Amino acid sequence: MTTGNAGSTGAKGARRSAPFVHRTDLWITIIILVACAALWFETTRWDTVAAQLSQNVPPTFFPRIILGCIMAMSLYLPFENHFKKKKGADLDEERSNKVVSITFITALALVLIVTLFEWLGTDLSMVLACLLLPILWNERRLWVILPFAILFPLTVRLIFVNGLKVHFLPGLLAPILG
Amino acid sequence: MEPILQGIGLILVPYHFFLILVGVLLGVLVGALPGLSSTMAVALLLPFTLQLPPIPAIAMMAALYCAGTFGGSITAILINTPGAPPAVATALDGYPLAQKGEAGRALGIAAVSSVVGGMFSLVVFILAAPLLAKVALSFRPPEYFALSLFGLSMLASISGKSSLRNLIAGAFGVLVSTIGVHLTTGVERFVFGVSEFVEGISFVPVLIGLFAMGELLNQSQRLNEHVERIKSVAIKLPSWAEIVKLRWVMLRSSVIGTFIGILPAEGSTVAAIIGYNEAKRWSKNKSEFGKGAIEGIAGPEAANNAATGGAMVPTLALGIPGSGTTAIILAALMVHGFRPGPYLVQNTPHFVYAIFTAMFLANILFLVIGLPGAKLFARITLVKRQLLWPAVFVFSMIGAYAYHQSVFDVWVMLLAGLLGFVMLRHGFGPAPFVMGLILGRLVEEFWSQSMIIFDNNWFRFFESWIVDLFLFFTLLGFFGPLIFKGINRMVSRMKPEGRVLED
Repeated sequence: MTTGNAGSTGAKGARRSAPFVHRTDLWITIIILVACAALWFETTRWDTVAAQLSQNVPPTFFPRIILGCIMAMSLYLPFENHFKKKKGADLDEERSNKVVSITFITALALVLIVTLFEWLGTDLSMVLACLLLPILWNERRLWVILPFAILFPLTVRLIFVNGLKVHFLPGLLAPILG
Repeated sequence: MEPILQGIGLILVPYHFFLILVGVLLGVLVGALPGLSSTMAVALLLPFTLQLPPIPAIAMMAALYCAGTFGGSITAILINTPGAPPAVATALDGYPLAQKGEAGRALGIAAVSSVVGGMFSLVVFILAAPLLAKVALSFRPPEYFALSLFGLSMLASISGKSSLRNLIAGAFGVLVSTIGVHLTTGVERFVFGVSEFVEGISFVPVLIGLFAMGELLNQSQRLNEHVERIKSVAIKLPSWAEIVKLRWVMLRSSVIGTFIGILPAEGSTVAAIIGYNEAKRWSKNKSEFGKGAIEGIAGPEAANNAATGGAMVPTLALGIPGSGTTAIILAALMVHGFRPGPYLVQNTPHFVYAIFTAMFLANILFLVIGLPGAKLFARITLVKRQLLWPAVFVFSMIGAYAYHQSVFDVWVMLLAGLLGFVMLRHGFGPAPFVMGLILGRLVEEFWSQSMIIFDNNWFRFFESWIVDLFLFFTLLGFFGPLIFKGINRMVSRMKPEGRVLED
């Protein structure tokens, strides 16, 4: 049995050398199996219900069927790429390029904004997003960013608060917004 | 006839008309923007429509769906970048024609063909709806169960390279749908002590996260990609002689598109590709294809727009979404208190006709707006990613929050987005996950109801011919490709000369 990396793409050469077990997919399978096993264990901790009350369809029945199906299907995942490549399809096309650092930084920025959402309030969170993301994505023209970071959240506020009657969290602006 | 007139009357209210117009404008704009899909736009529109009455809300989404498909062809023709996947085939001849200095003519043909395709599919549905309503009388929980199960089996054939990964993603969607209190017994499932999980996971933040946030992270990898400038375009409607020349192409593609759209899980992209191939196969000037043949524009455009109308048929009449966008429309119907499926056609036919009137109107509106505004819409591609995607994030964040005015939903949206990005990278599409999430609840609910009706006798499922038929289709959906492959192998073994040729 041979193993290989996800990155081996490219037409004919790759088709010939497609490993039988795809390493990345093997890891995905392991993660899925571990997660499903943990969830299956969780189903054993649910309250038990009398058969008559549950109409002989206990609450564990359906989730366990699904977990079983997922586990069974995922067992084929590590070998799928090998057979797909034989037919000329490349499952590695999307993931052959490494995720660039800015994607991780963007993801972290999004987590930061959502973490601060309640404390900052809805309005300031929008302003923060409109300032932070363009700067992270290499936009340096302040005369573009600043009006965008003020006018766009204002427009969104008008639509949601005045138009759709959604209550925005005041957060730090509570003394001003009341 | 009365429900049809009622449906038309419901749409021809100035306020509803205005909302449909907004939907069309948004659709064309979003369709023209590469990266922003109409699926994502419909997901982002969902929180806005929650405050609206159901008819204008769904009508607006349906209008956006129709117009988004046409919008994708604008950039496909002008800059060889399909704004939406269904416009891929349009670029094959649209762009070469634009390069010959006839971009306006190409856009005109695309718009007229789209309208013809869209109208055709709607007329077919309006004629077919009463028949579906009759069939609806035979539907009980067991039939609904079989139907929903059939919908799940269709996940295997949704777009993507791997049926297996589609099925796994769909199964995870079904699993997520089981979070919360079990309806029959009241037992809390997969709640992990989080009080917000007790009522289950809401569709809205999950949909927004998967479709918008996943794409945002995807776009962050393309910051250095060059955006082509749009040249000045004078739009030109096709002449009567051209329309006559293209009539069979448009009609054939409309039939193909409607049929493919009606098939659950077959999308308008497939319809457009088949429409293009058929236009080429029947053409007398095959050599012109790929060099700017007008049939190469009319074929895919009529087919992909006919497929949007067709895809609404299984969504509204059977409760099975035909694509990611219709899955969101289905979720919106449920959020608005409707249960899509045969009883929707039977009990509220005026509602169904109102939606189709809205789509009909959308087709006319994007011709009226799209032609003079195409140049303007195309210029939206010049909006920098650095401003466009932060705006999408803000809409996603506020959209997720506005649904229940809960910060927890914003977290759900973000986690769904991060998960969606990782899933998509490894070939697990967001559309099967969403369809699993929506259909999973129905499958379990109808299963439990059926077991109560049948007094736990499984075999009684097979007493209904409708159940048998859908279970047969379900098996075909899961194992059909394997069976057909086996048959093909057997046939090729029986033909030794075929092997010689292969060698």
